[in-house]
Amino acid sequence: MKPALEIKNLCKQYHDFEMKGINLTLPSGYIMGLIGPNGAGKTTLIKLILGIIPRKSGEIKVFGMDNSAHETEIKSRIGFVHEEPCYHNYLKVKEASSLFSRFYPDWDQGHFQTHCEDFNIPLNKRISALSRGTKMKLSLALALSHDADFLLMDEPTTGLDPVFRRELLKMFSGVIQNQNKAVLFSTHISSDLERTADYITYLQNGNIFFSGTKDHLFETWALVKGGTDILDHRAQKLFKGIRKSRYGFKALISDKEKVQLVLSGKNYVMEKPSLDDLMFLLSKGKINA
Amino acid sequence: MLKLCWKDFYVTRWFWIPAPFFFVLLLSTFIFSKLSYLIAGVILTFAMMVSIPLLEDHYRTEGIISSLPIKIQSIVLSRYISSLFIILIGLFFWMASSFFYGFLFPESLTDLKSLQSFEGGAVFLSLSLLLVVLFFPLSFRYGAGKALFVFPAVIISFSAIIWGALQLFSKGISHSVQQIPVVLIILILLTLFSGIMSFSVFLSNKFYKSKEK
Repeated sequence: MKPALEIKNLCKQYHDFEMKGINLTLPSGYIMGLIGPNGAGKTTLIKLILGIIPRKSGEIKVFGMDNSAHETEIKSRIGFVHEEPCYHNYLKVKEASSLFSRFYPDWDQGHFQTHCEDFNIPLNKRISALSRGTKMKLSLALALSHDADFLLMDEPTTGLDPVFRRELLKMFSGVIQNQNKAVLFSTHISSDLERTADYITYLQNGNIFFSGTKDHLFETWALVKGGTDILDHRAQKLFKGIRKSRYGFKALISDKEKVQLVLSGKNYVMEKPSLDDLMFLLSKGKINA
Repeated sequence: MLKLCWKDFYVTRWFWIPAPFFFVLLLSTFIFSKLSYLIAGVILTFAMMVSIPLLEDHYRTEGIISSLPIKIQSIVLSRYISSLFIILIGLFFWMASSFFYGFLFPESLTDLKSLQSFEGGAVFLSLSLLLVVLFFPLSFRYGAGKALFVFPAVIISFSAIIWGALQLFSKGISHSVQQIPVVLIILILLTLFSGIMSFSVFLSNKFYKSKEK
């Protein structure tokens, strides 16, 4: 089966930002989470996948099709949720659905109404009267109502209450029960990823720091904590991201055996990092290439 | 593409109910001079036409619209087609108003009669289309709101260039024009206009593709 998403050597350049040599693959039937600090390029990557901004070079294939050569076909198979859902705010919810339904051949109005009932979105209310969270829910309902094969979402959990967030993540898991579908979403909430994602891609300054399965990620990386007295030049060279304080240090490592060898006999703790640790140390810690 | 045109009219449908009334009413101020009546009609039509991109700009719907299963080029082209529809609506009301006011004041509005002709309609259409071809590349480059600020400068520069060119070549042109058959002149003008229109669409496409949405 062709992967839902395949990106090879993708480059994009702005005057103050560059995305270089992005490679990633998301097989069908899986959920990928995109994380990274603000300005890392998550939204840019999502827009590039959707083909609404041009790339400088590289290849983006969705279900084996090039996203610019098969623009319409791909977009009709994507359920997109924008970071900031902007609609003609004076329209009513039902009017927005009637507007969107014209563009999707597989639009299911019954499905949309069910989603609105489930998400507590009043059909007769104007969009301007909806809260930010409900607007996001509307955006989700619109994305889920045309039987999309690929859900592409830019921070869909932003502004949602924890209860709905959890339900939504459960819904993502439901979507990929169909092995032909896939979900890619960006978020700042690492617990959402730990709970749902099968694959995690970490972006930083327009580059992919890592992209792979969640299990592989946690098998590869470890968090080392200890007193600053055990830090020597050899140890520090093995640390990918390190944060020192008066009381000690914590650092990320990707080669557990080597670190165990170098630090043997010294007083330190090695544990599984959380995604927050990874994000924090990779973005704020001193990084060794 | 026609779905997008439908979308343009659907999201502005409440605007179209009072628009013709105000159009006809506002034109009444300019009925005593055919030039001001012509310019007012073109400007009012342009104002109606610009309402659609202005609304999209205001509500920042570009991102959502470009995520719909349609080609980016279709978004640009549909904007031109919607404008053409609006210009035709504008032409209808402009022409109808001139007949209406001519009927109300048959003796004092003889000047308007010269506009109630094929030539009058052609001039109205040409001027309105000219505004479209000049405005949309700016709108797709900067967004409709900002484009409106730049637009007067573009119009003044364009008019100055045309005026300068006419001054330079007027004698030569008038002499040669008399020798060219009318059909050929119309064909040349149509080709010229199609060329300008195609270049405008090309620029709009180019700008819209590279625009941050």
